[in-house]
Amino acid sequence: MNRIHSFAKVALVAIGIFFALRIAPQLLTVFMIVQIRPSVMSFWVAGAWAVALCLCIVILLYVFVYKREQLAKRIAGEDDLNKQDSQMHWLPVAFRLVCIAGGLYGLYLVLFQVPYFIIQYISYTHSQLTTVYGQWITERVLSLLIVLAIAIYLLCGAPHFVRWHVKKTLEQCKKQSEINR
Amino acid sequence: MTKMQILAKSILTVLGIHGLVIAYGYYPGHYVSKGTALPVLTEVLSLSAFTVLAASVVYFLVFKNTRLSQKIAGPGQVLDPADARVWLVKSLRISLLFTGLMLLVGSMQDLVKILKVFLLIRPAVSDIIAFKSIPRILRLSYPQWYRNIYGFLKVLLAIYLICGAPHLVRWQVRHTATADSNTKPESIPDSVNTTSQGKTNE
Repeated sequence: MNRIHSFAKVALVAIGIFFALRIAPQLLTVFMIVQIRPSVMSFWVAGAWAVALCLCIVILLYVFVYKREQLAKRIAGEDDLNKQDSQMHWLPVAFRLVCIAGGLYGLYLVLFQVPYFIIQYISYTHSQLTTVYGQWITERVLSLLIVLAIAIYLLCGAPHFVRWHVKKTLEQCKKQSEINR
Repeated sequence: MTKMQILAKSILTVLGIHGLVIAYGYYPGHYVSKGTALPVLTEVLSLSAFTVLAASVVYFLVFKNTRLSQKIAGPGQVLDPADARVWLVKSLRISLLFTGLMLLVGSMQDLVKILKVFLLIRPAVSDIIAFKSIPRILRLSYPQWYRNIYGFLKVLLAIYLICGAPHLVRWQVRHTATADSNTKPESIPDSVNTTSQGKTNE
């Protein structure tokens, strides 16, 4: 295990716990959903939402805290664990970690908005939803779907994006080194 | 410049940019002017005062952060100028990418609005030419104009930061190199470094 691997592990645990703590208060929205229109349907919706949130937190903690070793190996690269730390090596790792944090932030924003939509759906009648709020809700749902797509790509490590960034950064570093000479 | 100073510099830059975006997001000017006798004048004055305040904060956090970063990081092993430049480029690009991602993900609704404007701009222009009337999408109140312009600028900034903000990084590196050559940084004497390294090796 080298320094990059240890750093990746610590960063992953920190990211995982941070976002689990941010998502956990969303469980309180379950009561809001039931409170706004007490009915069997809203009870089931609230129950499903609570289960989904709990699953999210459990998966987050399992992957980022319990399985941190495997994830860090995937991010830092298993073959290079015995090699010495080099600037060439830690740069993609840092970019990947940043992408994962950005992806989790996107996922958190999506989870933050979902109970809001559920409440809107429960509170307004069908005609209100199709006329006055229809366009507004479409915009918001579209933006959330884009965020979700970006978040999933970033959580996968954003390979193309990281490669492009590493290439550009190294080019800029090379230019700066030439300036110094 | 030491590694810790470079890190502090990057964090200060990011804080300055993020602080500016958040400050304008919560700008309370259009709430203050409600119900006053001179709303436009109040608005202009409050926005100017707010801009001066925000600009001064950004000036010290983004553009003049060398001294502050030296104070925060304290003394340490000074890097070669070439190494310091490379480290600064890397740390700035990583931290700016992080800020850009946060901003872009947070302003996705504004991005959808911009896309919508591109779709609706042609019928709106036709309406203005044909009927000499302002179309509905342009009939907005001051707070709505403020929010839309703010959202548009935020999306532009986020995209620029995600691209690595090459101009800002270049400027920071050049500026730091100049400031570094003018001021002599605090450094740990070589004897102390050797002793501490020896202890670590043991």
